[in-house]
Amino acid sequence: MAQSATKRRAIAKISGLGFSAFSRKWEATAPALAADAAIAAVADAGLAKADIDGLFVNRSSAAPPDLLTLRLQDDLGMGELRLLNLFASEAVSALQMLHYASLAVAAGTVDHVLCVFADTPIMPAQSGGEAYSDTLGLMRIPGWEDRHGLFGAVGSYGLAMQRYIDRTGATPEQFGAVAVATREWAIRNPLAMLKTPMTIDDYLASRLIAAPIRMFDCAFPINGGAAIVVSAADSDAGGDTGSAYVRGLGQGHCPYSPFGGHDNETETMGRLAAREAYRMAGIGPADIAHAQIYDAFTYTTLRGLEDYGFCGRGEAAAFAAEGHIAPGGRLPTNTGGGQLSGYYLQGMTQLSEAVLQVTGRAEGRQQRNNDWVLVTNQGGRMDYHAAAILSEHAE
Amino acid sequence: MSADRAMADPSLAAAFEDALDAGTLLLRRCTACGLMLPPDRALCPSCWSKALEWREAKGTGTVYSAVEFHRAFGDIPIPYIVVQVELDEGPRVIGWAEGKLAGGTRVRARLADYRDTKRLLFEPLNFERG
Repeated sequence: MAQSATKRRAIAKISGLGFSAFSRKWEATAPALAADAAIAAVADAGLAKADIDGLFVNRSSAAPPDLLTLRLQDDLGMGELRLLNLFASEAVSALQMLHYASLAVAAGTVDHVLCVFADTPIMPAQSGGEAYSDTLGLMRIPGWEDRHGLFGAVGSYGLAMQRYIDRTGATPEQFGAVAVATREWAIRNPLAMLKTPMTIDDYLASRLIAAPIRMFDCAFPINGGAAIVVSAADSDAGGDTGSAYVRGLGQGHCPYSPFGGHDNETETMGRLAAREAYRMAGIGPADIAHAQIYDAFTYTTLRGLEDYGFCGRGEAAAFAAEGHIAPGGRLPTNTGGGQLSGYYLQGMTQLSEAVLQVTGRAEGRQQRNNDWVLVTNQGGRMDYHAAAILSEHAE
Repeated sequence: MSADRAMADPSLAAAFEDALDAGTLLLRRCTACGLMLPPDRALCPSCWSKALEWREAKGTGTVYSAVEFHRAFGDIPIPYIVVQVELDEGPRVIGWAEGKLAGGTRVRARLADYRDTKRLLFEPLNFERG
C-alpha cells in the first residue's frame, strides 16, 4: 500500500486484548476482574508473565481510592517491573495509558506494557446509577450542587446538552437516532449488554432523568475489566490473533471554566486531541474508516463527531439522523454498541472495540476497511480528551 | 469524580457562606488583573496573583443553561429545575428556579431560605413578586 511521505509508521502496537466477565450485579472485586482481564490480554499477545516489564493500572475516578491499586502487581506476581503507574485521570486514562506505553516501548524503555482497567460501580448495596449520582462539582463550594439539586453526571451533562440544543436546534429525535444506531450495532456484538431492538418511539418513551437527558441517552454501567498489552511495533508479540498498530496519538485538555470565555458545551479540547492525532498519523478525518467515539451520553457522540472533524459545528445531530453512524452508514460509529448499549468500561470501551475490529475479530459487525480507525476518550465534564488512531498496517 | 474538586481553602467557603446568610452573594476579584472569579479561588488562574479580594455580585445575569430533574436523587421533590447562569460579572453559577427559564433569559438572583442555609433563586428580570 502506497504511503505518502507525511505518513508516519507505527510508534507501537497493541499486541493483546483481554476482558473479564461482565455483569450487572456484584460478583467479584475490581482487583479480581483486573487480574482476569490482565491474564487474558497477556495470553492474547502470545506472551508469558515474565515478558511483561511494565504495568499501568487505571482506577475509575468515581471509585474509592482503595478499589484498585498498585497492589495488582502483587496479585499478578510481577516481580521485576521497570515501569509502573496508577492512572485516575477521569475517563481519558485508557488512551493515556496507551499514549505513555507507546512512548515507552518506542524509546526502548520497556518491551511490553500491560495496561489494565477494572471497575465495580455496582456494589452489594449500590446500583450502577447510584455510583454515578455523586455531584460533578461545578461550583467547588462544598454542598452547593446538593443544595440546588444538581445531582450526578446527568445533572452537569444535562446542562451541557441543553446548551448544545439551544445553540444548534438539535431535536429529541436526533439524539434518539444516536441511541437507536448504537443499539443496532450492539445487537451485532456478542459482548454487548443491551440487545433488545430499539426504535425512535422507544427512545422518546424512555424515562426523563434530567431533561433533556432521558434514560436511553445514558451509558450502561457494568462491573468488568479490560486490558491491553502495548509492545514495540516490530516485536514478535501479537500471537495468532494479530496486532493493532498505533499510528496517531493526541491529547487536549481544558478544565471546566466557571468564569466564561470558553463555551465547552459546543467546542471542546477534543479539537486539540484530534489535531495532534491526525498530524502524527499524517491523515485527516476523511481518511477514517470507522470511529469509536466516547459515548457516556448520546450528546457526547455528537460532540465528538464535531470536534474530531466529521461534521461542522452544530451539524452532528442531523448527520446522525441521516443514518451516517449506523450500520451501513458512511462513518460506522461505536460499532460494538459503545457505552450506551454495549458495555461501559470508561475509555476501554472504545479502545477494545477498535482493537477487535483492527484484528479482524468483530464477528457480525466486522468492518472491511481498517486502514485508519479513530478512538476517542473524554473525561470529567468534557474537560479532558485523548485520541488514538489505530491501523492494521504498521506503515 | 468530585473528590478532587473540593475547595482548596475552607476559610473561603466559610466567608462565602457567612455572607450568603447575611444576604450577600460574593465573588472574588483579582486585584492584579481585574478578572472576576468564582468564590472558591485563592489564586488567579489568569495571572497567578494571590492578591484576590471579595466583591459583591450585582446578582443579575443571563441563563446559560437549565436542566429539569424528573428522577429524585436526594429528597427534593421532583420535578424541579436547576439553572446555570452567567452573572454579568462573568462567573457562571448554579442556582434554582421555580419555573422554566429558557437560555438567554435575563435574570436576577434572590437569596432564598433553604433548610438551615440559603440558595440562589433566579427569577426573570422583569418578574414582580406578588
